Amino acid sequence: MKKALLASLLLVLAGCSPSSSHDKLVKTLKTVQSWTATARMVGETWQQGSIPDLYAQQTLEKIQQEIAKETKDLTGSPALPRQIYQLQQTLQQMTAAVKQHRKAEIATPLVQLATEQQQLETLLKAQGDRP
Amino acid sequence: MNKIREIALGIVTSIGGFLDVGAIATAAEAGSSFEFQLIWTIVLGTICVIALVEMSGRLAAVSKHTLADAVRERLGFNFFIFPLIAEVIVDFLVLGAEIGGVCIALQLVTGISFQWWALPVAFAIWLLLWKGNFSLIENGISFLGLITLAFVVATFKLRPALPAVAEGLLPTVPQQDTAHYLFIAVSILGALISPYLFYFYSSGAVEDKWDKSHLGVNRAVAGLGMGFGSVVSLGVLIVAAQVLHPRGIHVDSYEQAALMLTQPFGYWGFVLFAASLGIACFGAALEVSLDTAYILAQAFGWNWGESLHPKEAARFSFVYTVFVFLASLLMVVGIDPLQLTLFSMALTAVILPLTIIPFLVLMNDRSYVGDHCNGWISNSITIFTIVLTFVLAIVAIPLEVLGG
Amino acid sequence: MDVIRDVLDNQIVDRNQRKMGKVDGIVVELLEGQPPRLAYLETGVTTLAHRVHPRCARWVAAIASKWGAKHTEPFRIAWSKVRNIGIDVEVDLDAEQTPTLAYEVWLREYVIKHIPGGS
Repeated sequence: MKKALLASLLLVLAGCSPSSSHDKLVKTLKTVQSWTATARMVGETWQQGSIPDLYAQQTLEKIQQEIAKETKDLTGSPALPRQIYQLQQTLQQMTAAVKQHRKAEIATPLVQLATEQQQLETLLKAQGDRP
Repeated sequence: MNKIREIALGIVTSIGGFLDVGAIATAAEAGSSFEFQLIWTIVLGTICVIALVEMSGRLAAVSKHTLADAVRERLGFNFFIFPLIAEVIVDFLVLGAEIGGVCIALQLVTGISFQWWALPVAFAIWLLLWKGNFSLIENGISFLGLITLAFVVATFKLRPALPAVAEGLLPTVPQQDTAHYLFIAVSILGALISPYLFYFYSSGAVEDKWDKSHLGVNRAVAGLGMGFGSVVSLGVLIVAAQVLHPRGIHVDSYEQAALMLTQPFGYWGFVLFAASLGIACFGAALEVSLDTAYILAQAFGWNWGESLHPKEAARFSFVYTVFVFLASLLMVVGIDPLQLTLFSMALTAVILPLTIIPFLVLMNDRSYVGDHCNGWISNSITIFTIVLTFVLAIVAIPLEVLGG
Repeated sequence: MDVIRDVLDNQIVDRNQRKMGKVDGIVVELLEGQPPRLAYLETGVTTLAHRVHPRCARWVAAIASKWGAKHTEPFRIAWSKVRNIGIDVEVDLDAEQTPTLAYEVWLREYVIKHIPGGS
């Protein structure tokens, strides 16, 4: 009984641990993707007036913090740090627009964000094709 | 006519009490990350809960003992001390998470950090327990809890593809993100099959002075009540699947989940989410606080009862007072509410076997349930749940490490 | 009657149906040449702790001696005082007159009454 339990535990561990740096990169990218998508929805719903200003601002700030935390020790693809930097800039612009209650000003960074989202997706797909 | 009213009240209670921070958080995570694939987990958990809640009620109505009373008396203190200590620890963490849920709801609406809300919310919970009686709490909060039906309305508004939803009823395990998938599955089961629900329900049955004539009411409340609550959980999952998943948002924090009702309802959707989260968690916090006081009082033979004046049940009242304020400190110091929620759900999964095994003994013991022993269906479900919870108990912590 | 099953760990209630603890222990008298005789019911947290482990009982007694009502001795109820054994063990006593409610009374007087709404 104990041996069976140990064996199944090892199986789960073997199948699931993100050991390689490649796996770590993919995980990081996915997290950044999720936060970016969140920022996009926050921007869009704020533009439509569906969420309060303070919530939009605080969430965008939190997203910037989370992405910074997640990409702190990034290695792997050389293009990535620059893309993350651009992403953070876009998020900054969005936060500024929200802080100043200028709904018109969020339109441009939103479009920019959509492009950056696409780039992230392409990057993620490329990682997925590697062995 | 009176019985129908009792059933209606009971169902409303279950809706408000079934959905709590764990159910909302895990359903939101499940829907956003895995679309409809985890629907079967909610259905499975619901079936187990309905069976166990019905048994708790039947035990209380026929034997006039609560579950905690009966476990200590029938299985001895040397056995009972284990589920007792485990339950108190889990209750503490879950209470912290529920208080966290209320605080987050307030943060969403006001922008003031959840840490500042912890003590005021704890005070509100305490005040209601101190001054209120059982009926007020049971019925008042539950009627407010009906606001969570917003998720069900949203589901209909969003028109999910029925074939895809139906496919979610079949258990499947994806190739990618397997650890994360299994972790959420375990958390859902830990969130739905909550021990505090059984202890609380049997205590409530005794507080309401149920007897054998209530067995039908008990079955209706257990089945329909938990069923309705489960429908709301499914609503949360489906809305998250329809709104967040297509956008690529995987819920890792409550701020993300808060967006899900804005698509069907606009600004009111945001408010409805916060209100649903806040009210559901507030109701659950009341239940969990009472539950801890109930099981300690019942374990040691103290006078207990929410409807009693505090001075008539000093130790009982003292316990929930201290407990509520201590648990709120978890939020004051800034522990992430969602992480605490998921952790406490995983921990619940670990202690479940200890809580459920006594059912098998008690529900087949004529001195407790008389002629209303378990039939083969109830016994089968109980045995199945015991096996299931053993598996959960073994994999819960490793999965928390790997997939959490 | 199975003493372990029907008496031990059961709820004790007084003549007014007031809860006064559980049967934490049973004291049996052993006299030579005679079958064991049920002498007393015992109730008290130290008795309970002793069933878990004797060292546990010492800790519990140490804590209890310093806190609240500072009462550590278990309370013994003579078997002759037992009126009825059913769901609960009914005894012919008044709970308030016994030390079983020591901590309940202490908390009531020194804590609960001082909180608004507690008296």
